Amino acid sequence: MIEVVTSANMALYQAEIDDMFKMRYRTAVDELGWKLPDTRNGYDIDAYDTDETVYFLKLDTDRSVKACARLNPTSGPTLMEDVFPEFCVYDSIPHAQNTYELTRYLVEKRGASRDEFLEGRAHIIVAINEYCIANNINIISWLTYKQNYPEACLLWETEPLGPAKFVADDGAEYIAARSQMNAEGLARCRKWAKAERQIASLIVPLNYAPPAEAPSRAA
Amino acid sequence: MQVAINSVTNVLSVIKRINSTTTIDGIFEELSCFAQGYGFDTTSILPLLNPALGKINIWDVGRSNWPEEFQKRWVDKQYIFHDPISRFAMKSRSAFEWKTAYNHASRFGQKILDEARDFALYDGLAVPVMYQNYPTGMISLGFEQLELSPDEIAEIELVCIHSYCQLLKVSDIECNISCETLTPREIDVLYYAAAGKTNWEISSIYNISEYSVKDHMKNISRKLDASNRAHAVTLGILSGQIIP
Repeated sequence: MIEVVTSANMALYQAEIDDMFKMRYRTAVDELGWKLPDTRNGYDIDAYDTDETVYFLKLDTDRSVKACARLNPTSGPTLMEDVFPEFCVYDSIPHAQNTYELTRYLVEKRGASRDEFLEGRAHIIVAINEYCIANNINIISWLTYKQNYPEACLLWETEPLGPAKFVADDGAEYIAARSQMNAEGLARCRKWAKAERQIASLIVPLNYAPPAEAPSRAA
Repeated sequence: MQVAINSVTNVLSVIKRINSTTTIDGIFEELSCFAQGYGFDTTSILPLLNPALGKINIWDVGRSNWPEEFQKRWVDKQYIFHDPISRFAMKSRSAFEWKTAYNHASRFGQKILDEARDFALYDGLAVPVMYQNYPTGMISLGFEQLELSPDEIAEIELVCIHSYCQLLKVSDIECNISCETLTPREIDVLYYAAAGKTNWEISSIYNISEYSVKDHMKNISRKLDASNRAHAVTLGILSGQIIP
């Protein structure tokens, strides 16, 4: 399962979120060589870790974080707008109520077999798709390594926001894109991840109260 | 020399059209029209999979508008095994010009490209399409003389990637060979088989009997539908269960 953590259930996941910040540092800074401005003391926390952020965590049996990702509403500040605007050449930077930005999609290689690594990657993607459908998020915008772009095109209806560009920090090419979140994409993701049932653990928030009268099916 | 006329709007609209095309021929037509707009004379779209494995017929999925005689020769003489463009695409992660592949080709590979020149296939741009870090297909666009800026190459790459991905979607072929999943111990054994170790050597490494290794190899071959050890290693790599 992939744990979905929002401000509503964050209290239940303090230790895991703390471990995620450390895992993000190990993976992004140590393994991938990203130059991140806000990292300190082995933690990667930035201005886009907010109350509105939705986190996706793949936990090991000891509850350490093996893979993660985060979604932020594009109605607020986004990495694409603040840091990578030059990647959006074909269209404007995504800003819409039903569009979320996917960032920090990371899987830890250290200590993982290839199968575990691929499973971590795939399950996070399925969980994101499931969460988006459940929450009426139609589009995600994201920036990815060029070599990963075909995979996204195969899974989702994807359009580039601009051509691939080099990022000097790690000498890799990246592409900005937006992808539709829908049932067809979810079916392809589940097939790819060999997931037969729901992957995202969509916990009802502690402050959730069911409506007084459930709407009738006929309506 | 034709000047590139494609605009940003054109690239996006071509990608949208390709994404909604539901036949292989339709995708190929969109791609070749786009390529012609840039001044390319020929287009080919091919899966990069060893045809000798017999998993797919390349021309069931692939398409080209090469001169008929050259395509016939390419098929009949099994040039895919030695074609320097396909071979270089296996190593390259980005678009490259045919002349780069020519410079890295074997003598026989160079002969194939020299023959291509007799059919007015002088030079071109090849775009490998990656899937899970391995090249899975290639688009090759031929031209006689063309100068492309890095931005134009980046746009062409995007259209090529979308074309190949849509082709995979509509043809429903798997990027990887699909087969039964191996157990962790079978994967261990296959890794050492891939490194040229004998059953006896593998049994010493894992401190198990030679008979057990033989048994693992038998199960591996059955699961992968392999006819011998080398075939099992190849299929293990292609199915993504071991890395080369």
